Amino acid sequence: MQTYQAAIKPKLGWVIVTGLSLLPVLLYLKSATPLAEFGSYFDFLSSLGRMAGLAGAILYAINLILSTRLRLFEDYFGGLNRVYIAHHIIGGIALILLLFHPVLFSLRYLQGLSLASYETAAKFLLPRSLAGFGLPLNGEVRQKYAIDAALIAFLGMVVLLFITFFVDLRYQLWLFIHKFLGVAFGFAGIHILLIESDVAHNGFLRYYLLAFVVLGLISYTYRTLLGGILVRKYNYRVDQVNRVGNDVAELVMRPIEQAMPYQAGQFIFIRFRNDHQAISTEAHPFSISSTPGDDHLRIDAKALGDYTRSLLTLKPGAVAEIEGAYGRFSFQNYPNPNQLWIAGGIGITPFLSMARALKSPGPQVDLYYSVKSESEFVHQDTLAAIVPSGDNFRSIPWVSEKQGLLTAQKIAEVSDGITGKEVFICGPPPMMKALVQQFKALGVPRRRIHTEEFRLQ
Amino acid sequence: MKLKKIVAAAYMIAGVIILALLLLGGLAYFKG
Repeated sequence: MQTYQAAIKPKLGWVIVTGLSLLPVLLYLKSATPLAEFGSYFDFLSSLGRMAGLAGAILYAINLILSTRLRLFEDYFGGLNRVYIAHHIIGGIALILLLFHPVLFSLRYLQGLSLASYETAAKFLLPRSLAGFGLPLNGEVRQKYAIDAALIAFLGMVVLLFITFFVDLRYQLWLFIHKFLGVAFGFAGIHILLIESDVAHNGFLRYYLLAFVVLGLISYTYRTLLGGILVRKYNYRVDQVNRVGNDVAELVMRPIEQAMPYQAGQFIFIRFRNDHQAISTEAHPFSISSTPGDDHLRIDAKALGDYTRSLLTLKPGAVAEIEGAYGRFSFQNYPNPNQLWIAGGIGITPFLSMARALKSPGPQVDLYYSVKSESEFVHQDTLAAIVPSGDNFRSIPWVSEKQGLLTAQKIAEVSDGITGKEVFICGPPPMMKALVQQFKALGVPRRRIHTEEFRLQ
Repeated sequence: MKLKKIVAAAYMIAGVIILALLLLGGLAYFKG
């Protein structure tokens, strides 16, 4: 009898993030002693600038919290890949809000075409200790620190996020640079702690902001600064390295101590520790192709880049440090009796795991396994042997060179309709994007379509 | 992709405003 996990609420994460970031803005607008003033040009831009700062700071903190990879967040976004998509979007929105926080404050000093007002506005953007300019912010040392900390945070964020969004770097270098955003957030925290403003005089708003600063810094410490010690890892030893097909490495590993619990269809981050192996020690994500209860943990990696190519040269005995398991891409999370599983190329791996976990009676599954040419098929024999009864599982190989591209329309024809079915897709991003659009055009609700992206960056 | 374009636009708008303020402010400062 097939068992299922608790239901996932993939929209709830967005509702919570929106609520948490808008709450201080609403409180700012609706405070008993009015904080927001819109009567004059100066007050209007000041209020807008503060609201941008409030929401931007909360979103920045939320992004650090999301980067902890806590499993709780996976249920609220629909898997770690979706958490990272949210992280990317939230980062973009926070950046825009925080970019305009000082810009709006500076622009409020402009009065007509008066050159003196341009000087005041420009000096607002300069470090206090250099400008030696006493703005109406008490002019005390504490305020100079507060503003200078904000400028450091602002410059750090602007430069680091420019690199994040627009500079194409090698992933590990990109990740290294990206991690410094936590330092910029620390300076933003100093700014929030020290700044004298009307927000600072509102008890709830001040502590609400400071609570997020603390949570953000704790998250940064947990994941980035002390991740090597605090984040749970499982040690495995490589027993076999098998070449499957032309260019796929199947790694068969067994736990050295405790085995990692996981669900069929999930993925892991794997890092090889052994210095004697010709492989880098960077962590990379891979879908698990074995199933819970197996003696061994298996992954299948196609040689698509330097790292995945080097997996083929790995020797038995190598020690792997594994973090996980992550992801909500599993039929066990969606108790629908009719399911369509669609794999493109090496995207077959989570389906190998899921097919091995199928029980009878269980859902009726049609697995489409699409490749360009027949030589790309891997584990066809495994798939054929997976479900001995075979009555609730059909494996449908698809060779696009001969049969044309696999489309939702063709799937609907072969599987006798798609209405009410749960759809799982894992494959190259263009294929997943095209199929999602096609299924939606044929009336399948987006909530019934589940995709697993390979890249987390 | 859409987000990337929006972020690029925000960078450009904020960048132009900041540069303009610094230039005009600098001009005002040196003109006394």
